[in-house]
Amino acid sequence: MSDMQTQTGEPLLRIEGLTKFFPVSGGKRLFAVNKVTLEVGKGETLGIVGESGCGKSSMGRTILKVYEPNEGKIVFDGKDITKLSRKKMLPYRKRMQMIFQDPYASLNPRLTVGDIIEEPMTIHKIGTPASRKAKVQELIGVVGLKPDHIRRFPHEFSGGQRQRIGIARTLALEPDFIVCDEPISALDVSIQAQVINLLERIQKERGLSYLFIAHDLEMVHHISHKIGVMYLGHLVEYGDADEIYKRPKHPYTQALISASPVADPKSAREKHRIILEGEVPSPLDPPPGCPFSGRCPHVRDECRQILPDMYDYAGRKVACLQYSPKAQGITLQ
Amino acid sequence: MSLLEVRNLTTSFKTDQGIVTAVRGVDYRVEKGEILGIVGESGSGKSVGMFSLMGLLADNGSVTDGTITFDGEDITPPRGTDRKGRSAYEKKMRAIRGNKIGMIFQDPMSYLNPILTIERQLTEGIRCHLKYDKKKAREYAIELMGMVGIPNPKTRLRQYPFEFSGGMRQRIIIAAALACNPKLIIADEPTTALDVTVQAQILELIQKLIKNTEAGVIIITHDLGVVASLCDRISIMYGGRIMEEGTADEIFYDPKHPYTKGLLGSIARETGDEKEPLKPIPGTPPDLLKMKDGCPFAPRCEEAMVVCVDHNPGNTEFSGTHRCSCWLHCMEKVSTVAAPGDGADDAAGGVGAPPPKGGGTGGRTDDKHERLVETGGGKAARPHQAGDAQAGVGDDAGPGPEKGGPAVGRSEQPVEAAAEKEPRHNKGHHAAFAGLSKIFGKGVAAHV
Repeated sequence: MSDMQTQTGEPLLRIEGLTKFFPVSGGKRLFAVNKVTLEVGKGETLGIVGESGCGKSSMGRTILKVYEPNEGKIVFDGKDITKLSRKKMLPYRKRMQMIFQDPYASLNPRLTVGDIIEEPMTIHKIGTPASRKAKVQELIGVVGLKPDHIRRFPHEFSGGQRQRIGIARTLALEPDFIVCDEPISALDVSIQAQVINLLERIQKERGLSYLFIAHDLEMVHHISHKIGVMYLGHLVEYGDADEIYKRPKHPYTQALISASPVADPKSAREKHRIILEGEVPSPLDPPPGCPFSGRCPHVRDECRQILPDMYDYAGRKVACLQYSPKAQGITLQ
Repeated sequence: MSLLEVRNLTTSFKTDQGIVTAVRGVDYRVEKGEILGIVGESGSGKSVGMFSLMGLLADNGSVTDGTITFDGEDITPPRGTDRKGRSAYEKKMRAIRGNKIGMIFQDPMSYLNPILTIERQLTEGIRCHLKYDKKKAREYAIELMGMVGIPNPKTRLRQYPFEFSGGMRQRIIIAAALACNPKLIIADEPTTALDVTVQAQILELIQKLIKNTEAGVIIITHDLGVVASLCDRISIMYGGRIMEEGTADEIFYDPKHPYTKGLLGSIARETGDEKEPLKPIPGTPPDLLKMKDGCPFAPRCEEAMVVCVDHNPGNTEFSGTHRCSCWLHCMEKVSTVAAPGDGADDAAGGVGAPPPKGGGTGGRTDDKHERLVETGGGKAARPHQAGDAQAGVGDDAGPGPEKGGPAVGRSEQPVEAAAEKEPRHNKGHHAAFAGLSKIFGKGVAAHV
């Protein structure tokens, strides 16, 4: 995938050991994102899946420096932006944008659609008022809305249309990288596909990169080139989307994929479901060792003591001791 | 006789903007030991239908038409404001709710009272309906909690809802719903608020518990994945009407309605090695305030014809279990179409079989549908024709100047004429009812 690299050979975005914790009462720390390392190439979509509270949204926000990272490095287009000041961050903000989950809460109800789409350009002082208006006209068309929608207010639109408005606003600054934070979760099934197709079309036309956060595994598999699976703030499996979806290696990924209901009665009847015991533990009180050890059907004693690294295995990275070089050496013998 | 039989259910709400008819002539039945899935997007009326049948509508809502029969008893809510009728109905329903019909709701946190212990909430129904004393009720509650997989039920019973996780709360609600051995269980989006791995636990639990009872189950959801693995039969709702109904296999592998096909095209499905592009349904869900009498899906349907706009199609039966409400299939199977004139007669006379009649009326029906085929057949010419024809139908004008015009004008005449006798808003339902009564007639006969 040579065209997915920038000219310098660097991926568009690289994060290394990114950590974000929130101090909570009692002097404790809640680790929302825990030493996550991953890359997003140019024109590529990285899907992030995981259950609620696993830190996937926090990670998206930390990458955009909405939250200041506590540890680790964010490298965007070859430049380390981890420690940049607000002011120095501005040119990068233009290139890194976000689409939010709730199209009802993320649009200002007092602004017209035209104002909403124009606002980012005004803030970043791009173009003249006339050229901005022309840009708004263009974007409205790109996302499949009608020109007479420009003077209307958000409340006049349905969820899917609002999400289109949000996408138009995001595109106003012509970003290279967009964090899509559950962009379809709030939408009806028939509308979800419209938004997904729109995102895919825009990506093809403009060579955008997406970090696509969602909990719908089928949709993430559909839209992503690579997938990262998160559990309790940790990235537990990361690699090619098809590989992970069809041949998951981490016990959590296996359970997640087997548990997600398939809209196909025959395969649903044949499918062997791995039903996990219990629920996701509180991130305030994670188990020692591997975060998944408390629910893992293959748990061994060492899992409760050692936090696994991301090991290279079967063309991907897996954070599970059964794939550690040591374990692999043993199985080979 | 079916455990639950709902016919032509129509529910309206009075709002400041006008009357919203959320459920528009819906029919379904549930047999003992059967799981029926009702699938629809937001605003399709799938939950309102359930609230109507439980008599739990908000003050501004009322059931304006239809009948509901549960376990041989008529539980149709009384229309109008007759005090006596209302209180008798309330009394009857109090004995049924939570007793013969158990309910599982979407959001376990808003269903449980945060300031009462689990014991209080779980034993309330047991004490009320089964007349257990406090001690016996507590023992039974502990047993129930064990059955739904809650560890340490004795300690947990004394705790408050906030001390439970989402999945555990949902288990408590399931325990409460099953407490009185209901004959029917209604689960309204039982797993929507839960994470995938917990959802799998709950679905497995529901499946396991239902196997042990004779209860019929209705599962309401927007998730096609949930119904695929769980349900015997599936009803697809849109805009307050049932678009298609069939067994899981019929719906997923042989969908007939354009909306069902659209829904299946909208979800990412694993089919072979290649990722298929999604085929979304264009447009947006209907505004219930501005609904016409025709097929609610017509404005978004790629195969919509002129008739679809103002006339609700009758039902077409494909098998004993599979039926679909779409004009496209009425053309294929002329005999099952409810032409309001003949159809109404059939319904009144209780005639079950729907063979085409040789007589004058039958001839007219056939003729009519020939015309419809003519009208909608040519896809390429459709936009042009549709424009003309719509105008023609709208103002009841005579034949238009175009080729398509006269056909439509004439073809619509029987429908329009018959509709004249009925209040306008009832027309669609009437047609649907006529078609359905045939099916139900057959269905009931087969069952008895």
